[in-house]
Amino acid sequence: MNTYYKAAIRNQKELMPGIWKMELEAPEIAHSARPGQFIQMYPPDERNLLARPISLAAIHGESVEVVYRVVGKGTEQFPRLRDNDTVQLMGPLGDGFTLPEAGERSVIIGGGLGIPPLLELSKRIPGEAEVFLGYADAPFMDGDFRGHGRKVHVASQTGNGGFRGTVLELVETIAPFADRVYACGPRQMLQAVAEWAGRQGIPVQVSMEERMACGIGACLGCAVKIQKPGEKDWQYLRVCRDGPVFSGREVVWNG
Amino acid sequence: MDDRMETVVAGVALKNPVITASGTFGSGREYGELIDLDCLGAVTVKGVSCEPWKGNPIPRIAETQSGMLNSIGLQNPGVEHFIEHDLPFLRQHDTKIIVNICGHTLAQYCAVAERLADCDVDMLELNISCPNVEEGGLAFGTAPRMVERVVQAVRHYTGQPLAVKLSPEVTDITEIARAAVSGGADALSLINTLRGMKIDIHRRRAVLASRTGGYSGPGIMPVALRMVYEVCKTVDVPVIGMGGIATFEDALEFIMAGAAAVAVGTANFHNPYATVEIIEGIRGYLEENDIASLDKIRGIVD
Repeated sequence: MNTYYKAAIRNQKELMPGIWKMELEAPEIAHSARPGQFIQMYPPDERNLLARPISLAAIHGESVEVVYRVVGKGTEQFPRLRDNDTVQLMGPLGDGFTLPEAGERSVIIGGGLGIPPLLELSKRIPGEAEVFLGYADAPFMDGDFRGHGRKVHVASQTGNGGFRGTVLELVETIAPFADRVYACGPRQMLQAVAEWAGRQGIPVQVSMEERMACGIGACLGCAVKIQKPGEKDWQYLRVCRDGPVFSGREVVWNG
Repeated sequence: MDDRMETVVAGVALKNPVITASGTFGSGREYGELIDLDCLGAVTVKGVSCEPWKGNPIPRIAETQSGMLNSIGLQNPGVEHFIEHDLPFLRQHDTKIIVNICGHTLAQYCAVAERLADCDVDMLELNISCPNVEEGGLAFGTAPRMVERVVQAVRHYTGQPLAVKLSPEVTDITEIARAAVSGGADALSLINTLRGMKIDIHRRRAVLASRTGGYSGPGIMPVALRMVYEVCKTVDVPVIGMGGIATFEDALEFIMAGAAAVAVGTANFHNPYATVEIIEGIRGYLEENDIASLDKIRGIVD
């Protein structure tokens, strides 16, 4: 159930230079949210008309946790918020991940800011799941995945934290067995993951990102090319409403 | 119903003067999960073409200071889908339905108007800002001759009240307004978006895939208000004023400039309750100032 209201902020901290985590006291969102859903967070300065879509990293009893990167005039306003300040929110939005069936083994692959949206998923997967995380340099949040008992593999461009290379190169090196693949990260990474999973015939769910305006499916701003099985041509679907999670096989990656 | 708020546009009685602007509200389904659509004077649905339109490549959205750019390309699943899925949904609600229609050729405009002619809709709104592919891509709405022709042609296919939505990308908006009325428009809507651009200096390229897009939001309101004012002084048909309206004060400015009704667009993205708050705000203003009807203040600015 989508709601629009002001939530109080708790425990905001900088995880890495420019990457922040905050807790939002948002019972209405926390009660109904599913892993893979997101919220719209409105910058306090009204000159920024549009909300910023931010994935839910964790869903607790009465609150949710978000992790965001400061990238511009909108997001740079959020780190200035202190405990008990409020921020305008709308959510939970979008369709989340579909959890695996009992007995299935999952592989979770995240890259950079695509890692936080996978945390709650990882917690809620009842069976076995192996986690692969890719970073530009120093890892963050890898401990959160280990915290609930997952086996975590880390790759980075610099070799910081373990494997040097892309997260998919690490996946290919370890060659984990999987019935299902879940991925979130930069578009090229998602494409590579979808192609890798496709070659092995493993169903893959990818969480996509795109510039948004309304966040609820009315404006058609955040489009993604999707070709459904059996359909002759692709169509633009809405990341905010029809996604953000799509079948990696149905995304038209090139063009 | 509150008589003070009632507004008649081209023979259609709206319970209040607040309408949603085309393209910002879909067909009401999504916003209907947050607000009560029955509150609205009317819903203007997203542009409908005779065949499905795929829309423009991404990115389609860019934020600007106090505004935004969009280049959706009028993506829509076509008039048949609209009639089958969206119209029945909207009809469950106690609000008027204005169907925005678009086309790339005269024949396409006529086809969608003809298809809707027997449907249960309250008004058509003709989007004449589309490029006319038969005239080298020049927008229909930029030349009085083309405006008159397209309005006349569509008029021939529909007996429904017909509003024409004017583009601000013209030298003299009153000349275009007169051409639309002379073609048979029952009402005018203005303004559509202004064309704008944003460049990402780090990537050194335009943010929008289409390079340029329609600029909307509070930044355009003074331009829109001026054009509504000029058009209201020029023609006798009712005007639906729009362009950057975000508060009830903004809406009242348009009404005092002469608008019969107002449409709220981009503000919905910033605040999904914008329309509801604007309706309540206008009602409060009329009560506080003991104004018996909107007619008492409409066009009051000389």
